[in-house]
Amino acid sequence: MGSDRLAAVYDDPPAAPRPWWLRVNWPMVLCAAALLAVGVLFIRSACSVRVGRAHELWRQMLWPWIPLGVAAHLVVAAVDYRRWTEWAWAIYLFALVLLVLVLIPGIGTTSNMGARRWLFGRFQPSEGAKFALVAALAFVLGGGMALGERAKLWLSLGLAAVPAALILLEPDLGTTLPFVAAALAMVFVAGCAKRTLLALVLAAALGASAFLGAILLPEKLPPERRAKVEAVTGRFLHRHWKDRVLVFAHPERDLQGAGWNAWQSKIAVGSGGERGKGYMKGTQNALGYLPVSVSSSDFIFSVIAEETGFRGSAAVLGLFALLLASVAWTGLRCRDEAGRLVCTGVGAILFTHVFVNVAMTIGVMPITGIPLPLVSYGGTFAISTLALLGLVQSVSLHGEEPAP
Amino acid sequence: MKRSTGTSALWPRLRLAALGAAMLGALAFLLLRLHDVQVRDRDRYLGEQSEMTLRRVRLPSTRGRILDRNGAVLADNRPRYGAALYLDELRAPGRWSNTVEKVFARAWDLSLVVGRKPELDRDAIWRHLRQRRPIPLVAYRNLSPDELARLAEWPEPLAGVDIVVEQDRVYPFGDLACHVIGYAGRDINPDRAAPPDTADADAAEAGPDESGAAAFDYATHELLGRGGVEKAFDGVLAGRGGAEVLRIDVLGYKRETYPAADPVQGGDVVLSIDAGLQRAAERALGDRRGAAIVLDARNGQVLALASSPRYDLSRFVPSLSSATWRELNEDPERPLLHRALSGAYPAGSVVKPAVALAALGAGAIRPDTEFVCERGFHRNGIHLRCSHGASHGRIAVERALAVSCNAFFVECGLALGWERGLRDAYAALGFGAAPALGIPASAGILPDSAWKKAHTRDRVPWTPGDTANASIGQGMLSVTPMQIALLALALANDGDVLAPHLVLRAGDVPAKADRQVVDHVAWRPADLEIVRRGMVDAAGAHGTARRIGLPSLRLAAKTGTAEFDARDGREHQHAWIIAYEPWDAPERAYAILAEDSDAGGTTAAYILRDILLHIHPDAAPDESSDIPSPSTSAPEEEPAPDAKAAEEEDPAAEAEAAEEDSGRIRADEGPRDGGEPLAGGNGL
Repeated sequence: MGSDRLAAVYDDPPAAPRPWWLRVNWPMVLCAAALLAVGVLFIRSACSVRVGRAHELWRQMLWPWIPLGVAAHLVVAAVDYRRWTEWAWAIYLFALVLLVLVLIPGIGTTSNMGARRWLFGRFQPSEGAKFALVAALAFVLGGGMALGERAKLWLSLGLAAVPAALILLEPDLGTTLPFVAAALAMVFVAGCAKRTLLALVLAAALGASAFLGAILLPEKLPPERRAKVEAVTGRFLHRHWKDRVLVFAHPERDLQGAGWNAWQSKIAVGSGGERGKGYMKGTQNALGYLPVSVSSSDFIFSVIAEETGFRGSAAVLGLFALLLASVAWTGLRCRDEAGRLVCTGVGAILFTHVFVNVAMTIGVMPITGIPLPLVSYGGTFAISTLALLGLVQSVSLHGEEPAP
Repeated sequence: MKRSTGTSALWPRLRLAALGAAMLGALAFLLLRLHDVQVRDRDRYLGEQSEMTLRRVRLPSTRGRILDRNGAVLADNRPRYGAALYLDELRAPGRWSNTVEKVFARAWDLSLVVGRKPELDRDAIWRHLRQRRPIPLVAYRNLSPDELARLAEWPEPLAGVDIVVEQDRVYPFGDLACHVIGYAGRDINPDRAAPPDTADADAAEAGPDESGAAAFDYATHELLGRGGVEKAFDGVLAGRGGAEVLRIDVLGYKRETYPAADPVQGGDVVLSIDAGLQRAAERALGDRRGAAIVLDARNGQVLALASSPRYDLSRFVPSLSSATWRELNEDPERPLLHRALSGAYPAGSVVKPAVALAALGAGAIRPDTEFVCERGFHRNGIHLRCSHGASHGRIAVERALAVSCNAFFVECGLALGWERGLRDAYAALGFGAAPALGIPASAGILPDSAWKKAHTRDRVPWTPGDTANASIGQGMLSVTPMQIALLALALANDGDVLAPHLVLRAGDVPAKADRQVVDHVAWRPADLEIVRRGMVDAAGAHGTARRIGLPSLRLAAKTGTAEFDARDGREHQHAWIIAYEPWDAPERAYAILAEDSDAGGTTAAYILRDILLHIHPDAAPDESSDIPSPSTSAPEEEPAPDAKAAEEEDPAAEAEAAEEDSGRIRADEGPRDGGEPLAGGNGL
């Protein structure tokens, strides 16, 4: 891939680059910093009732996770994003290896849900795969390879499908959503035939409805046929996927069991009211109704909403909106396709996380175990999010420079 | 990608912008939903949360005291110390059985400190853990002072153990006025709510409660009035229970406590009873079965309301055991019966003044009207003899009262008639109606034709024979000692029938305890003067009540000996006496009943004498007087004040009487009380 080829993408002849501190996407930095601060504060609140080391979970965010994430951000941002797209193959392959490794018993660590998600105890390879996917798709769709449009499209979808399939094997349904979303968004922004786009959206819709149908439809069958059908669908569907969808469809059905978290989360959010109960005064978490095992990670938004009320939760949503807008802004200002696609992919991943996570805490979507970016507790996740934002920062910093 | 590599890359940028806008729109949608949940539906979720996490617990109030008129405390409270285990401090991680074992172990630790075997077993702990997890588990209800001291002074405090205080009722005077005071027992408070039914200990919390209206989540045992004033004035004495709200965590343990309402202490009830006089009356009764009543003649206040035998109220504290209950309930002496208010007896001769006054007032006789007594009354198939076969010859009202001539009063009664005659006179005095004292009292029986038909075997209507019996306080007529005391009160008040008062103050409200005239019997002053002379004479040196023997007291009295047939087939007598003093300006009225005893002039007179001596310690005459002591009393000296039908003397007459159904109802026929199952002074 010659640099002349990439240079051809520029609209205008490159002007003299502005000083770096003017090129930094400060709104994004400020939003991210604010969200990280909110995260640390409310992880502290969520863990205040836990004992032992878990009580100090927020300190682990302060050291080492956030510094490591900031370092990753700086490193990623310092390197021209076009370099990252060029190295995307290597990164992608490395990520795939890790995703395979995590599936091997004895190497991957099993979570309490029975899914193998962690390598070396605490590293989630699915997080690294997000970075790899964004870089690889930006490279492919951005014209890094001399391919026809159709080939680009299929290659992109294939590149997204492989890690998504491996993650599905863990099994971790929720984490595949950002991958699908990123791929679709990037394909959309890169441009493709309307018919193809329509077919993709239809396929996604069909897949989703097939998934939901396989869970919900047998409910309506007479018992003996239902048992037969469920014997077939059970091979593909994990029990807690079914539980979560069924609980979402019938929230009142199993409040004490599978519906517990969704119910308690809604009570937490709702009882917060407009002004909230005050920092560290949320009772749902303190009294253990919101399980402490998830209150600092997947359900951190419930804690925030209960303690700060609608004002606080709206402010957090506003910060995320600003963050997404700043990412989109960088993408819009960017002069080349790859940069735009990087911003699209990162934005889509962030959006998916925020939307799915917040939606599940208020019962708009089924429970899926995906965390809130920058706010939820999680080492790998904090690093990966900051690294993804680093890619956007790189676009912001280096988009005005000629390609290396 | 040719399209996107145009000079401005317009389309990709538009698509990116569109995508960004869609994302922001999706977030705006979330914001709207968030608003719904947090602002619009806040109350619903808060409600769900408090239902899930809040438990209302009742705080018992301190029960009010019962005082006598001088402030002596008849019923009080005393703290009782116990030890309780706080499960929220003893919880163990893992299985519930871990917690049970830990609590059980701590109960043993506690037992070693206290020095008493633990009263808790694992089942009790399980039960508490399932049903009452947020509230403390009481390990010992009553720690002795030694045990309490050992627990309080134990060098290292036992975690999860604390001392709890409950209030116990205490009756400082033991059996004094036990029937009046009643008792308070510990029971499940009626306005508590059903406990949340956590059948499964693993169900973390109770879940939505169907009832909703539940005021309290846990049953509490509180003192409830069960008898006498304790029961009748329970609303005043009980005060108002407070409440506290517990916030429980997901495992059901107590996390926080919020005070919700302070308990309001119950009000004191002040009785008109004078404890000293009550004690004197009870001592005077001794171990006889009977009743002694002293009323303030000026206002109707009850100064003493003694009933015998009694029972010790301390046996009811802290709770009445079923063995004690059975023992008291099956005691043939029937100590639980409040004889003064609920015992129904034949009235005997004490009604004769009222009969005479009614006959005089109605014009049925005049003060100089004479009847002939030939060993009693024998006419129209009615045969009633005067006591000991006395024959009074021609006799007028004044002498008839003094010698208690049955024949004279039978003539009076027959002249008056029953319905709209003598019966109305009795009704005006309160016979047949329960006196309104605030505590349960029997109405006695003031029979009429319908009553007789309903309650006798032969269903025969009222006959003149029945009137004859009723005229001398015998037959179906049945009265309580309180009704007879009210008769004495009416005599002392020239025919004003006063409402009796037992309570001077209930809580902050002074009860109406002043003179209340509820009825007036049409007694003419001149007639009253005759009757009073007769009653003063009776208390005099040669009257039937002379054994009272306190001539300095200006006493007016009337004795009575009511006969009844006990189950053993022999004749028995209840001794009555009514009195008031001083007769010219009455301050007190008395009624004494000694069950199954000798004539009214002896036993009842001695009881009254003891009571009067308590009130007037200076009234005792010199020991040199010839008053016989109770132990040497000789019934046969009694001047035969009372009556009995004559059948026994003459078999033929008896047969005749039976044929004609002379109307003499034997005292053991039919129920003798107003429905009170324990009541009835006869047939024992």
